[in-house]
Amino acid sequence: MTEIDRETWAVILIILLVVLVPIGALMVMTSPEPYHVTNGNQLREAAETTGLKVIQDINVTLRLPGATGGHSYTVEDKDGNTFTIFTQSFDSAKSRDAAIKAHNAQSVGKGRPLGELIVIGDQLIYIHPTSGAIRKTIVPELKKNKGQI
Amino acid sequence: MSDETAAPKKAVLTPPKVLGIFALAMINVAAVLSIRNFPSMAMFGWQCIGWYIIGTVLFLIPLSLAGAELATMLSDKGGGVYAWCKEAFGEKGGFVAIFCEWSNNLVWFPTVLAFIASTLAYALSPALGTNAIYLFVVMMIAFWGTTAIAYFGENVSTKFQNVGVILGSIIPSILIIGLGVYWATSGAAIVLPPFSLGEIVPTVNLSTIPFFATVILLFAGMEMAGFHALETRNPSTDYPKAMAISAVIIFACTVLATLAIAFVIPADELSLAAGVMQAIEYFFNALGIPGAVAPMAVLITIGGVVSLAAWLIGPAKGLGVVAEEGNLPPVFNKTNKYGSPVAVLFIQALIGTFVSLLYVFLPSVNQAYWILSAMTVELLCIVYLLVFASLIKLRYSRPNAPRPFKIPGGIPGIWLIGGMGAFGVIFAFIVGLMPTGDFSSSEAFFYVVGVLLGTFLLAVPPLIFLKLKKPSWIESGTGGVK
Repeated sequence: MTEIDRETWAVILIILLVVLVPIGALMVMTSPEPYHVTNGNQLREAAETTGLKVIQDINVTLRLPGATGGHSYTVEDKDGNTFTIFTQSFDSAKSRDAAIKAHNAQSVGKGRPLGELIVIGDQLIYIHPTSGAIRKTIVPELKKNKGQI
Repeated sequence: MSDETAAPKKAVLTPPKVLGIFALAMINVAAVLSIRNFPSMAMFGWQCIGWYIIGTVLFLIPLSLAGAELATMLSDKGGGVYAWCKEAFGEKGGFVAIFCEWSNNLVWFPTVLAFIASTLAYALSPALGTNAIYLFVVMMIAFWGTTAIAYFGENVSTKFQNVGVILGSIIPSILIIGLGVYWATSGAAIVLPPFSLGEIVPTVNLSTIPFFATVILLFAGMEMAGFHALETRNPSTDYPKAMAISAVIIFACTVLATLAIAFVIPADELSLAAGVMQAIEYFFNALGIPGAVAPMAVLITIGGVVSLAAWLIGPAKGLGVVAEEGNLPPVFNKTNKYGSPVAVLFIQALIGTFVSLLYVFLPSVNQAYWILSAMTVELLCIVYLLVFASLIKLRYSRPNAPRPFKIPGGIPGIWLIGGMGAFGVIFAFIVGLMPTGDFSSSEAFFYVVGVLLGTFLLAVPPLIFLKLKKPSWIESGTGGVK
């Protein structure tokens, strides 16, 4: 039988701590976005505030448990560049968080999922990675609404 | 190098030479080819070709060539990237490389397990996808089941992977490609604009730069066959062929299947699709075969499991070799009669279970997830940077060592290939630090510090272990000699 000495215990502890502490700390320390019902037009409001024009607004409900509806917005900047942003509201924090996890499980290769997911209250806002300059304008405005009830 | 200084201390069974060209190629295909990449990449339309070319030139080709040269040069040594980097940079370099490869898996396991569970839910009842108990149970069945397959050694895991990768990766890819061709030739409307060379040029701006890291590491896993060196029948001839075959299969299936999806589903619909299965459902509905969705979900689930198996077994085998060489305490150096590193597999399974538990049962972890996934990218970049650096260094430190496969072009050739790969992963490392939309300006600092600190913590333990190393660890090991 192998005797477990101090060094062995140290190695076991380091492996456990080094892996579990950062992962556990991150998961515990980062608090979820508070769930609250928004008016559902965060994106439109942010676009208008930043001088972007919503040129198309289509109602969309994803086939996800708890999804209550959302929009597919086509936004245009002053140079005529357009791109689409998607929003979806959920009926509970549980269904919203499940949708986040489902999205995060769709990573490409060993990397990340494509695009950015912004969580505001009951809404998930998905921004495609090719959104270009418009993204730089609208994302900071959207972030102002994060955590606000 | 250093492995020659450690004398064999105890005899171990020579692993059976069960792997040939096909099996080696399938290990790489299992690790790299994933249906879940296709809908996401199809969002880029024709540009996906340009992105794939970037990943191929800056990563797939360099890593395949580096793997072929290093694996054939060091075919008598187990441990894959550990053996390669150790040969170039000594035990510290080798140990850091394999530990980074192993520890990044621990962060990645929950996401691939969640993908497996949610995809299977699609075949059963999509509502199950939000049921935490269901998710956790299926994740654990997949995780411990795959670990059990690894326990029974190379022979069993190879058969599992060979069948699994054909069923879960190659057949679904071919099916999607075939249906895409049918769609294009049946007169149905192709949603992509007419093809021109200009269409494939990727849009490069600040928003898409973080995507470089994803694209470059899209083909991560091409080194996976290298972990199975000691079980390979004719490594000097089989490795280069297996590398070439797997690279061609992966590239062809990935590009063609992505385009097939892009032909059928408008990019806006792909963006809306919350996952691969929603995109697949749209694809099959558009083709008028909705009944194929559930069987496809089962096949994609199998593909997820074999991908998990490839990543679960390879690095664990590498860490097992580290333990055999006495660089880890004897408690880690437990190999069963099938030649599997049971202690490493067990510890890996325990940690993976705990991390999965946190992932499933803690509330929304969007920000934590992004930091953890960034750490995965950074750790992989460290691994591959060490591999490319080893490729170059060994041409100088061991210029006359037999290399059954040698990257052509002499020193300029090796700098070109190794340099391209190194450039790709260094760039990926830097852009991997860029925070995403869910972080405010003040949180961005927290994000970058968190990623760097986490990466450091997960990369540095080997240096501490080597400091703690005792002579008795080597005595109870095998000196790495089989």
